[in-house]
Formats: sequence, C-alpha cells, structure tokens
Amino acid sequence: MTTFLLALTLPALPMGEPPVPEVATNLALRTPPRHLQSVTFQIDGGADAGHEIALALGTDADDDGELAFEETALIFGCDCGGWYLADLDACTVSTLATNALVLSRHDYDRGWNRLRLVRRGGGAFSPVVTAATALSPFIIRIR
Amino acid sequence: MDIHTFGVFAALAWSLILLLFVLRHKPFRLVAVAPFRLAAPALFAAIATVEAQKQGQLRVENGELRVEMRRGEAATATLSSPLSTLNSPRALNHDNPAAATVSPDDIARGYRLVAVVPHAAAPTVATNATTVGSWHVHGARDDWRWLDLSPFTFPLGADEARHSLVFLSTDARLRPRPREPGREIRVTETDARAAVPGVSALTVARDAADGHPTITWSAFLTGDAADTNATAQIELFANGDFITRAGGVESAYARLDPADWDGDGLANAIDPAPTVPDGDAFGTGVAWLNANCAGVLAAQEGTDGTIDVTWHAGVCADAYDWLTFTAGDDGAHVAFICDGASDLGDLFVIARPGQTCRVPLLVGATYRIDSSAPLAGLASSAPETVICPDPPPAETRRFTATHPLACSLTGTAPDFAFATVPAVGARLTAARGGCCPGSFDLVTLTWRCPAACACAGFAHPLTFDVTWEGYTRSFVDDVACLCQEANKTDPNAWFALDAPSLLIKDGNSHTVAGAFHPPCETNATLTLACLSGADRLTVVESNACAWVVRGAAASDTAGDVAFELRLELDGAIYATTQTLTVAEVVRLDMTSAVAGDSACPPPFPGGVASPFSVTNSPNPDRHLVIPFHHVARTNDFGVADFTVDLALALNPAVTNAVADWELLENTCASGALVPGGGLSAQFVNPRRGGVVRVRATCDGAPATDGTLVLPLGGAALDDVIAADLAAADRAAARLAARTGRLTRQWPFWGYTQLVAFGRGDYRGRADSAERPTVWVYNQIDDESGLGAVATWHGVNVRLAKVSNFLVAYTCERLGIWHLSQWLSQLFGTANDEPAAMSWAAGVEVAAGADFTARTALFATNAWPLADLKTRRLWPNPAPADNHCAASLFNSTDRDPNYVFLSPGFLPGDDADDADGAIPDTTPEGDDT
Repeated sequence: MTTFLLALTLPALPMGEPPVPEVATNLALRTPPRHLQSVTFQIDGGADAGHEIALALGTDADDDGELAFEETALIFGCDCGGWYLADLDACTVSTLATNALVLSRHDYDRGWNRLRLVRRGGGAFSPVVTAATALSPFIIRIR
Repeated sequence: MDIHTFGVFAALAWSLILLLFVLRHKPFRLVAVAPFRLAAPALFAAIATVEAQKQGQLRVENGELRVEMRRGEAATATLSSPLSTLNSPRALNHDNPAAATVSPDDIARGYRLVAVVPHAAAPTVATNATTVGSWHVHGARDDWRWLDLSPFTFPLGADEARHSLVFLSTDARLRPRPREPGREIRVTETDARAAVPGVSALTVARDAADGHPTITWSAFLTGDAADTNATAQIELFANGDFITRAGGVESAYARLDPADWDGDGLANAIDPAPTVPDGDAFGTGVAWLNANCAGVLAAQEGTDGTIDVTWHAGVCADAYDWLTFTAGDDGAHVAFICDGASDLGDLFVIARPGQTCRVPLLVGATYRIDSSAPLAGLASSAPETVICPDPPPAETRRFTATHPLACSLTGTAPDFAFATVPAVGARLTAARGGCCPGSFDLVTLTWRCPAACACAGFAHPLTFDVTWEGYTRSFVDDVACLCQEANKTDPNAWFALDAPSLLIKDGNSHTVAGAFHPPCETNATLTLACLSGADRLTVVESNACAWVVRGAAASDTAGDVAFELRLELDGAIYATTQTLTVAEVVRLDMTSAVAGDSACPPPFPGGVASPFSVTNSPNPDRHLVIPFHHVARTNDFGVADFTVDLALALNPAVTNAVADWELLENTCASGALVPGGGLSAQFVNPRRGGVVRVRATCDGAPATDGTLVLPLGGAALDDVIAADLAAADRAAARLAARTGRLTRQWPFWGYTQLVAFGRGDYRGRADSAERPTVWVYNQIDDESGLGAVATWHGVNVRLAKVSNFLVAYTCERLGIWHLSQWLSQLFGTANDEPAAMSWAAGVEVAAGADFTARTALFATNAWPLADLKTRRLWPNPAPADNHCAASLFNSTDRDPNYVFLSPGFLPGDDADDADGAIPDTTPEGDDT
C-alpha cells in the first residue's frame, strides 16, 4: 500500500499472540505535494492503560519494506495511557498532552517514505489512527 | 582413605569452616586488585584469570581491575590462568583482551574488552531498582525504550561527548544516539529477545555511592518458548568504562581515550605507535620526556628517584626553562603549541588526577597552553617567563607562556656582534635593510658604507633572522651606519643648536633647543646655556637642552644674545653657539610719490592702534593724504595708477623679519593691499576716495596701525539742485506776480529778495553717512555754514557757485535786465572766474538751455579753475543724505557741520508766503 492521502484511516492491527503480543505493519509514503501545509496524525481510543500504539515515520534506507529503528526519525504514540513523541534525530523524548500530532511542512521531511504502525498488548484494544493533510490552496511561482 | 589423606581433608574442612564463620560473623569486603593498567598490554599477559563464583562483582576503576566479594557469600578468587587464555564470548565478537594493540574497531567504538570472568549466577536486581517503560505490562519484541540517566553522564564513542539519555532495546542494547548503531553497547548477540507481559521487566538501579546506573533486562524471552527467558545487565561508570553480565560471563570494558588510544600516556599526535601501549608515559616522567623531547634530551631514572636529563650534543641547556603544573582531580590533557617549529617541537601531556608535571619550554618562543581541565600551580623555573591566562584573568585552562629573548647588535659601524639575553646559542642567519648591504657570519655583522653612500648618516632599522634550537625569529633593531659614525660630533650634521635668529619684543615665544640625532648613543649629555643677553629674554620654560623664550627688551646691537650647546660624549666635550637678536617694532612708515600735505603726517608709532575719525578737525588723527588733483586725469576725471608704500621699522634694524598685513577698513571700495615680503607692503591703485586703514603685526607683537586718506568732498547734489530749480521757478512766478517789471530792475530789490540774510546761499556741509567727507579737508564756517565743497555731475564744486547759478537763473526768470543783473553782482564778494561761469550757466538755462548738459559743462570746466580746496577733494558719488528744511537749520541747535540747506528764497512745495518774503534768520557770511 502506498499512500500520501489527504485523509486516511490507517488499518486496524490484529490482536497479538502471547507470549509477545506485538504486531506491526508498514505503509509506504509518497513524496508529499509541494503545497503541503501540514500533516496531522490522530490516535483515537489508544489511551489504554495496558497497551501501546506507536506510529513511526522515517526513511526506509535499505528498501526492505520495514522501517527499522535506525531508519526511524519520529515515533508518536500512546504507552499505557501516556502520549509521547520521540525525535530520534535530536535524541529527545517529550510527552504530549493530546492524541494528535501536527507536523508542519517544515517539520515533515519530504524524504520520509515509510510509516510503521505498531500495537503492543493483548485483549480487546481497538485504536483508530487517522492521518490528514492540509494543502495550500494555491502556489505562486516566480521565475 | 589413609590417615594422611584424611588429615589433609580435615585441615581443608576446618579451614573452610573457619572461613565460613568469619564470613558470617564479621562483615568484610574482599577486594582483589589486579595490579595492571588497563592500557598496558605488556602487563596483560602476567595477569591471571579471576574466577569469581556466585555474586562476585568485577569493576574497572581508575584503570584498575577489581573483584569484590561481599559478606555472606562463599567465594574464592583464583588466579589460575592468564586472561589471554580465556575465550572471549564468541557472541560478543570482541577482540582478544590480551591483544597487544588497539584494533580499529576498538577505536571506532571508543572502548575495548579488558577482562572476562565466569558469572554463573544470573545478574541480580538491586532492591532500589525502578522499572523502565511498560514492557512488563504489554510486552514487546522489536521495541526501544528511553531512559534518562540524569544527572549521571558518561562518554561512549570515539569522541568526548557525554550522554545521559539512552535508548534501550528488548535485545539488551544501549545507544545514546538511537540512529547511530556504531555508538552502542550490546550485551549479547542474541537478537531474538522479547519482553513477556507479566514476566519480563527492564529496571535501573543507582549505586548508592556515586549514582552510577545498572540496567537489567530480567527474564526476557530469548526464543519462542517461554522457558528460555534470560537476564542481561549493563553497569555504566562515569568515566566510560562499563561491565556487562549475561550468559554466565561478566565482561569488563574500558573506555579508550580519544586522544590516546593505547592509553600509554603519549597522545596520538606524537605517539609513534598510537595503537600500541608501549610504556607508562603519563605526566612528564622519564618515558614521557624520552618520547616527547627526544629531539633535545635523553632522560633516565636517577639513583635517588629523580630524573636525570642529558642534553644532546649541540643543545644549549640555557635555552630551556622548565614549566611545572598540577592536573586537577580528573586529570588533564594539556597541549603546548609553539608559535614556530623547533627541535623541541610541540608538547602534549596526559596527566593523571593530581599529577604534577614538568615540561621543558624553549626560551624566546611563545607557547599556547590548552588544557582539557583547569591547571593549578603553573610556574616556570625562570622568573622572567610571562604566563598569562587567555583571556585574563579568570581563565584556568588556556594560557600563553613566553620567556622574552632580547636580541641586539652591539658595537659600532662597521663591526657589530650579535648577542641575546639570555644567551641561548642563537645564530645570525640573515640580515636585511639599511642603506648598504652588510656581510655577516653567524655571530658578527660587518656593515660598511661606501663613499658613494647617500644615506646622510641616519640610523637604519635592520631586520635580522635569528635561529636557536631549530627555532627562527625575526628581530628589528635600529643601527647606526658608518656614515652616522662619521657625522656624530659634527655640529653641522648631528650635533646642532636649533634657535631662532630673531625674537620680536613682546612677540611669540620660541624654542632654543639642542639636538643630537644618533639614536644609538645613550650616554651623550647635552647642556644648553645662555652666554649673554639673558636680560633681553623672558624664559617661559627650560630644561637641560631646550629653552622656551620670549623677547622682553630690544637688543642694543644685532646678535647680542648668545646661546651655547655643550655635548659631552665619551669623555670629550663639543660645543656650538648661536646668537639671536631681540628686535622691537618702532614705527610704520607710509609714503607715496603723490602724497599731499597732511596736518598729522606719518610715521605711525609702533605697537599702537591708531584710529582715524573723519570729523576730527582742525586737528585730525595721524594719516597720509593723497589729494585728488595729484592723481586725477583732467580729460575724464579718472584716477591714474599710484602706489602707497608701507614698511615696518624695527630696532635694531634687521631684515629677516616678516610682517603680517591686514586691511582693517577701506571705504574706497577699490585698491589692493599687497604684502611685499619681509616688513613691507604696498597699497595700490585705488580708484575712489575714502579712508584706508591697515594693520601690521610682526611675530605676535602688538599690532601697528596706519591710515591713508583720499579725502572725499561733499556728497552729490544733482537731485537736490534739480529740485531747487523747480522751486526757483515757483519763487520767480510769485515775485513776478507781486511786483512790477520796473521795480524788479532796482538792484536793491534784488538784493533784498535774493541775497540779503543769506537768502541766496546753500549753507552747511552736504554729506553722506555711507561715504562721509573728511572735515579737515572740507571745512566750513561753523556759524554761517558757508564754504563747503560738494559734488555735482561727478566733479567737486563750491556750493557758492551752485548758489550763484540758482540766483542767476531766478533773475533771468524774473526778467531782470542784464545790466541790473550785473549791478546786483556787485553786492557781496567779487566774482572769480568760476563764479562768472556759474552765473552765465544760470542765465542760459533760464533762457532755455538744457539744464543737465549746461550745468555739467559748467562743473567740468570750472574744476581746473577752482581753488585748491575744491581740487584736492575726491568726488563723492554718494547722494547727500543730510539735506534739511530751513526751519531745522534755523533752529537753535542747528549745526551746519552736520546738515545743509538750500537757498532761503526758494519756497517749499506747499509754501504760501503772501508777500513772498522769507524769514531772515541767517547772518550773512563771507563766501567766495
């Protein structure tokens, strides 16, 4: 699946199997349009005290279809009820107050080509992850 | 079992019992310290393996390997085999810890494996450990958790960066920078670990003493089956060392110093084998000296523990100082960077904590000292050495150190010797500059000026290249050449008295100074004295060879004030003298070939401001007068070229003074003041009359003023006379209307109406404030107001002639017979020729002749025949501005010197005199 959509509900992940209930999927990202203004990721129903849902963005340098940890630039997610954002380039981790992450056109690296979605924890857990983009209504080019 | 064997077992058993008893009842800590430096492979081979059973802890601290056994734990420490015989855990893929060299991989990672011991028991988790992340809740397989270890920091990698935030993976890896796989600690190479919910846990415990962390992965799944879980542990130390525990082994890793990979105390930059630990060279001991300073010395241990230094052959020991300093608690890396190449070269010191170091530095060179940590006790063996914090004053890690070296050439031309202080065995390797090329060897310079040298003997800056101990620097020195030596005591060349030859009394001050120019003669003594005429001077300021003086009294004779300059040089005395004159400005002479007789003629007194007032009469201010008729051209009444000579006179008479000339006033609006140099000037070619005032000053003395007068006549009356002509018409008409024709022929009637009581005269002095007449040359009768000269048609005429013209005009207009007119002129003063000409002009104008042309003809024709008073006055082009009504002139406060009035028989514009009579208030004067 290759996507860079104006609005997208990411696929729901199946329940993991014990003893390590972790499942993940990767989505390819296209280069965003030049008139991209911002991208918003939102996780609904993820603030669960016994689960983690994580969304990672980065560049699949070895093109193996998997966004490895070394290839990841940002991780946004909810770990047992707490929202966080890890910037692996800057080596910083911060907590977030909301379930939405807004990346402006300056924050969003146009080289990112892979999105990885991870779910950890067993039992009933049905978060819904959506992505939406905002585009500039027009572009003025001066030659 | 025989009794002997039983005895041996019994002894061993009792020994074990005793040991267990002691361990149980007396807290103790057994520390086995392996006596080797981490980065000293030569000693690695001698180290036995340490087997620590159960909870034995292995530490690497300050370069020492420690095995600790804690109370209550049965333990043995057996040094059974060298570490080199141990197999490094294959999964770690580390280098052989006994390797003699540091591998490129070690350098890239920034650490190396230094010891491996069996560790059968699973790593324990301290009771104060805390859980990291939530893997124990939801589990994970391919995840990284972050852990902030602040305030703890540690280095990891091939640089000096320190970290506190680390990222930890489920397979027991640690990275301070998640996207840098090379900067990583990996406990095992089992990459299939996973956290199981409710079973696994990631924890961190802090050491109670220094807070260093121990991170433990407990019960992580290593395969797909839940019973294959395992535990791993990383214990981090602040210096970058760390220990890993997993899989039954405990591995000690030591951090590599990025500046000294092999850890032998020699910085990589100067270590010939930076990956081979080949000796203890920390601080500045024997090994360090031999490694760092081999170019100039050899060191060896002395018999009493000191270090014996032997300088190489050809090395000047005095060219080196010893700098001492003490490293801080964390040790220090210190670089000594010289500002040039030398046999000693740059120096790098790696010091242990608190170690006192001793470094040789080259005299004359400047070193930049750059330390990784604050230094204490920085001092030099030479007190002349200047050690400065950079920047001052608070910097404790960066300094500059210099022992100044003074270089100079000694001796006199042509032979010089080169020397330095202190003597460092420096050699002269090049010399540049100067007036002539010199030849030099290593210690001397021969500098000879040939006869054709045109340098005039001045000293010259020479640039020398000097080399010592392989270090080269340039110096500049002012050196006296051979020409200078020859001229040194020549009063005309180098030894000179600089003094003015003339002082003006009360003028500016001047300096009398002695000068001796050769800059290399520091033992010369100059003395200045006044031999004579000191009473002529006011001394403003003085010292041994310079006086500042001012003229106080005029000299009796020229040059009667004498100064002497004495030069004492090398026991000989040389003298030179110079005289000067104090002159006084005594007068200003003003002369001209066309000058007239002045009532108060030049010269003007010296140093005095001489004002001039045009109203001072009959005793005017001092002036030179140029009468108009001396310079007037009669054909067109223009002015011929002429000059007025000005000259200041001094006493005693000297010719080398210079005066400054200034034009204070020039109402002529023409002419120019031309300084002639020296004390003279000229005022040339004025074209109009007026007053010219000049000022001369000489070297700041009080100014001297002079006045040149080109006396203006009375102001122009053309407009006044034209108006009066119209008034005469009105007067004639009134008189004609009231008298019969025969009555008007009676001479006495004419006398009564037009002459008596001054009725027919212009009175007073016609004047202009802008261009005033000079009273002394244009006097009038103070009572009658008669006698003035004024300007008509650009020519000076007596006002009496104008009066004559107007009366003649009126008579003719009244139809008086010419016989009667002739008879009437018998009254009053007899007519001269200009008077007759003016009467004729009046008659002709009344008869119809053109007024302007006829009167202009009269004025110009009458001037050559006029009296001296009329002709010496310069025409005044300014119209009269003091023409007053009769009533004012007749008032009690009238002063004819300041006003003038038309003839009394003329009525005003609105006069309404019923009988034609005019008040008789003016006495008759005697006017010609």
